[in-house]
Amino acid sequence: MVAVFEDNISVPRFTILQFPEQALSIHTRFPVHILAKRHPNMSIAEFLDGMPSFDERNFSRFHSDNGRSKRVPVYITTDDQPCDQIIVTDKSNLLLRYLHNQWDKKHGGKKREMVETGEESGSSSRKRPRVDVPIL
Amino acid sequence: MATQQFYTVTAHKPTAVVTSISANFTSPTDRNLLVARFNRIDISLVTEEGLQPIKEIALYGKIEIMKVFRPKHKDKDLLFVVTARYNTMILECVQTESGDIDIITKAHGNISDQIGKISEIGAMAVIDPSARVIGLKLYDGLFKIIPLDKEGELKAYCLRMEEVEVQDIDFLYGCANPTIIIIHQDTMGRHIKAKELSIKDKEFVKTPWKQENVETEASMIIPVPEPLCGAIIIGRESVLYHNGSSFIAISPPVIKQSTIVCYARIDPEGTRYLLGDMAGHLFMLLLNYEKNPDGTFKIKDPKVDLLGEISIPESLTYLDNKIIYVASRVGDSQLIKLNKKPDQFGSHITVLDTFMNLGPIVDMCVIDLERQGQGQVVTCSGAYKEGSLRIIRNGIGIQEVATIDLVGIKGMWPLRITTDSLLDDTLVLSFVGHSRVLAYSGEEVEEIDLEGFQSELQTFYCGNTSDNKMVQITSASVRLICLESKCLVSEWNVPDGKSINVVSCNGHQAVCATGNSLYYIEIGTDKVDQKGFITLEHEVSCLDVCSFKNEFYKNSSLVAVGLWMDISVKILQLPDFVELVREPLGEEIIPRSILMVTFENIDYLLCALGDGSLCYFHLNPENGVLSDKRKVNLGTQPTLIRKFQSLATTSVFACSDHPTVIYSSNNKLIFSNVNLRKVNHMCSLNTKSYPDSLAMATDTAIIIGTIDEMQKLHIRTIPLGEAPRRIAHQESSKSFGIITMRIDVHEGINLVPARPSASTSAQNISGAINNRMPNNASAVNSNQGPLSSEYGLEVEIHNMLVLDQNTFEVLHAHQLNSNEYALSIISAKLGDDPATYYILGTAVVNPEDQDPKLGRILIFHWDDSSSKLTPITEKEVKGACYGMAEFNGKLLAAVNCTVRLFEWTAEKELRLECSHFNNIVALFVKTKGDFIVCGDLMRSLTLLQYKTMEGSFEEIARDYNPKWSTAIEIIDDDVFLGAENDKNLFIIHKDSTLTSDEARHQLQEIGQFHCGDLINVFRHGSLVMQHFTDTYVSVQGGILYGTCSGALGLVTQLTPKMFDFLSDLEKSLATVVKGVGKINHQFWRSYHTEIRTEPSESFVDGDLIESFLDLSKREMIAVVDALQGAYDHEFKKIPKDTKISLDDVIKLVEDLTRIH
Repeated sequence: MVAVFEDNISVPRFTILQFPEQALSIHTRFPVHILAKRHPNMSIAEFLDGMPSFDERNFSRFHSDNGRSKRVPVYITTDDQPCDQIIVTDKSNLLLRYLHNQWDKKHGGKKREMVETGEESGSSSRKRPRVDVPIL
Repeated sequence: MATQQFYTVTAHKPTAVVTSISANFTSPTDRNLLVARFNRIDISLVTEEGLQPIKEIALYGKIEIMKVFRPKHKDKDLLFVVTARYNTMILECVQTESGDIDIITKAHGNISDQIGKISEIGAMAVIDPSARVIGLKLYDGLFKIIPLDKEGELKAYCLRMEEVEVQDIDFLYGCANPTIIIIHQDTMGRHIKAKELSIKDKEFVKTPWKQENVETEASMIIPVPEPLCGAIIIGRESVLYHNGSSFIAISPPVIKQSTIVCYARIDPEGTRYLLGDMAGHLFMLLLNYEKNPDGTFKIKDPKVDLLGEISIPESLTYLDNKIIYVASRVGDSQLIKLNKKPDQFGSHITVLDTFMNLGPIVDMCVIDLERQGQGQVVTCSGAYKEGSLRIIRNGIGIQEVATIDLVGIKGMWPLRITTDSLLDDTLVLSFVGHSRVLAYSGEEVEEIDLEGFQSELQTFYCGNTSDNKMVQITSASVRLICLESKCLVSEWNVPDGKSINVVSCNGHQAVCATGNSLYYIEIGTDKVDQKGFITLEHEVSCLDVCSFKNEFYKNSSLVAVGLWMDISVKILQLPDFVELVREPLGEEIIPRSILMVTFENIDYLLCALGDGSLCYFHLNPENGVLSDKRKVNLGTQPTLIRKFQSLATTSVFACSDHPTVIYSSNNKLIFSNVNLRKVNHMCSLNTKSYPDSLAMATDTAIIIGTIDEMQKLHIRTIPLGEAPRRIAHQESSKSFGIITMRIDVHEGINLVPARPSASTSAQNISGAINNRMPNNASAVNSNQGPLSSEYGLEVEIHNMLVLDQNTFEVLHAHQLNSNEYALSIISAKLGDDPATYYILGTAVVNPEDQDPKLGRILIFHWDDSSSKLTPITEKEVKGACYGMAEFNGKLLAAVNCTVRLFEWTAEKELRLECSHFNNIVALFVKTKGDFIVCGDLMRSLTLLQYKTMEGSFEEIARDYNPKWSTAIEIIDDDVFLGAENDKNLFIIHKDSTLTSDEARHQLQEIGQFHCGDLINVFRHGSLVMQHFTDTYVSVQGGILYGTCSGALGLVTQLTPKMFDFLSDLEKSLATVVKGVGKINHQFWRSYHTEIRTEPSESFVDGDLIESFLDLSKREMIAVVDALQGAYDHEFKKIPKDTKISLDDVIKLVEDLTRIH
């Protein structure tokens, strides 16, 4: 594929697209097209014509406030809303999780539970269990 | 040790936009614009008239990320927010029964990890198009997933991501499993890679496709929605579309000038995009395709074209009907419309509206031009082409439209002579012993003779009545004049030939006083009749008549009377002058002007006294009872108060030596300064050429002007077109000295400014104007033509500008060499030299040097009479001169790691006297007496003392806790205020009472507070007039600060009593007010660095305190009930178990809002 250049545009610098030869070998050449300056307005017109309108009335009676900002009501609440969901972070070690996954895959997830309960009881382990210190 | 406690409050809210998005947030059919500014989310609705603001939501945290998503089977969007301290929330907006909205926190939690290297590129969040998961890139090498399709707890987990340097990340459309695409960098270059995620296995399971070695500066991913799918990769010079199996790339020349930083998808099909770059260019990107018969798509070449110039964008949001919101962090945000037809400059953009932004405030100064004790702040705001100066003053601006020179005006009133018009066309002026009528025809004004008008006497009132008549009250009589027949219809003369000295009239009722006699005159359609008379015990000093409608639409008319001698106010009922109330003012000054006025359905009685102070009461119009007396000082001379209508609201104008407009907002009275010197009289005026205007009489003229919106801070913008860095005011020459930076571009062998700006359009230019190659290497090669690598290279050019303090005209630009950066500027007098100089500190920047090795201190004299800038001397220093201060007639300079003191010799030269070496990089110096406080890049503050005898510095004390200081200020001899890079405020104390030398040498941290915003500058000063501060709050010595997100804040000292009460109130508010996103207020304000987090100390959060006034009465009571301690009405803690009254608390908080 051959790039199309306009005569009056200087030779572009190819430093910008550094595809190694191997990558290019399949596609012979990266199809670089210098944006044709021929019909700039046509593409802008095409672009603008296709802009969506969600409601034609929006902005139909627009008037600027001339910087006279209206006082916006401030949201403030004293209601204690119940919160459905709390976002917590899984603190388990990435590597352990990977190993558990591998184990599960190999053993069909059968023996792991025993291993895990053994680990969680902590009595046999010399490692101190992780304690999360609250941030404040 | 005296306790030091502080109150900090935002005087001007942050304005720099973090991001903007459109969504169906408030309802499935509403199209909303959501704009995040620092800790606020502004919700607006797209309507026929434009953007309608709906609500402002404040969070306890700086918003870092804000995204919307639509859960499966939902018709409305949810909002996902992450703060700078990783508080995360999912918010939903629901309509309440009352038609208001409620923000429900659907989910919340903190997603910070205790280990991990924070990504340098910043936190990124992406949401799967099918809303199954949220992906977060917070730390290098880790990708955090928050699963969304779960009930109960949302357990976020991290995935290992082998690509460490990730430039951008997003989810691809049309994938069975959530699949991200990333741009990542390694030593070979930048690559794109799609990675498929298994939610079950919590792992990246495969790489569906990748493309190595895309453009070396590829920086942005735009995922393309179905049916096309794939992604567009935006680089510095190219646009690439890739869908895994094929790709197409173009290299449009138009985008090469700058880097594209944001995009907006316009249509749901993903064919149209808008791109914005760092230089403020707006581009279109059109990705057209054809459908092949086999169901695949044939992508046409993407088309990119320049649409025009906008503010440097942070994000672009398509609203509707070709209208786009341009959010800017470094300039004003805009509302723009795209036009098919280009204008004469080839731009397809019309700016419909702009939204003021002060950020980033890099530097500022506080000046008092009018010498009224009220400061104005001038900030260096914005960056690059958006650079500007902003003049911020508290009060209301009057835009002068016309002036008429006239001396000795004693009163004035608008009048309508043309009977069929609704507009005023004449102005009646009263002088001692005579009156005049001025008629407007267009913009011209001429004196006319009005038949029937008594011009031989002083007029006390003049105005239209019903039925094409007018009433004129002179010192002798009340006259009803017909405007059609132009003759006197009826007249009431004062009995016994006495002369009237005080009058009040509302058009159909008049009350006239002669001495202590008071007459009530009713003005009928064709007759004036005396209907009442009373003799008072003292002479009348001021009068007002006002009729009120009660709930049964029955009129009742009250007269308010101020009396001489016993200094009291009386409320009398018409027609019989029945005395309802007599209220002694408890003052020693005579009331001079009295007014009954209704603001926001609350009736007030205002009474101005002879010393310029104003008492005001709540008035019950049924029984005349006065309550809730308050007092403020408006001026220093007798004040006249007049009602006027402007912008469809009633306001009161207080004419005095400090003219003030009084209006009501949120049911509280606001006293706002007016930018005029002295006003004696005023009236509103509404003529054809001066609609909705005011006429104000000064000692020598009538000023006709329009009044600004009723706002507290009045901001004027002086666009510079280049980035201002430092500002200094020089009172003697009535000028400002400003350091600016502009970008010049290499074009061949010349440097050419990228665009016209303040420094290129100055009246005079000096310095290194003929800059050529800054680099020696290129000079050698210059005969071979410009090096291609340098062509188009951008170079920073620094200038010192001199601006007129009133007109802000750029009088002079002094340009520095192209590798020399201006870092500091002050205006100072040195030694015995009577002249005031501008002193400029610079650094020579070589890219090879780690620290600048060379700098200069340049001294200039600006002569304002000849508009000439004279270089006096310059001194070379061995490093960058980051900060300077005048110190006992000498010049103190922070140069690299040293603090140096220079003497000013008789030969007008700088001579080094002494130095102090114990810093990493000394950035700031502030002085007081013999003491110097130096702020270090990373070693907090050091206190030095200058030993006059030895001529040397002694290090008195230092703060040994490392802090990357960003601004410092001296509060008093041993208390210092600092701000640091971790966005905290801290107070440091030198405790001289400690016994050991070692302990005394350590500055103690006595106060700390998380501001959340980067503070760039502190300045002593105040935005309000000192005497506005009421008796309730005794605040001492305010310090203003300016921040990166464009906020102006105030730090002020509190008395221990006040601090105790306000801390209690703060705690109570923090428990009663439920923060959106369930962030703990204590957590938000806790001092926080990477190393330690500690509760805030010795600070009261004024923003939370002031939110008290936004609460409903019921909620306020709940807050007061939740106070821990018991207080008396003066906020003193008392052991008794009594409750402080709600009114006292409201009054206190209202007062606190008035200190800024």
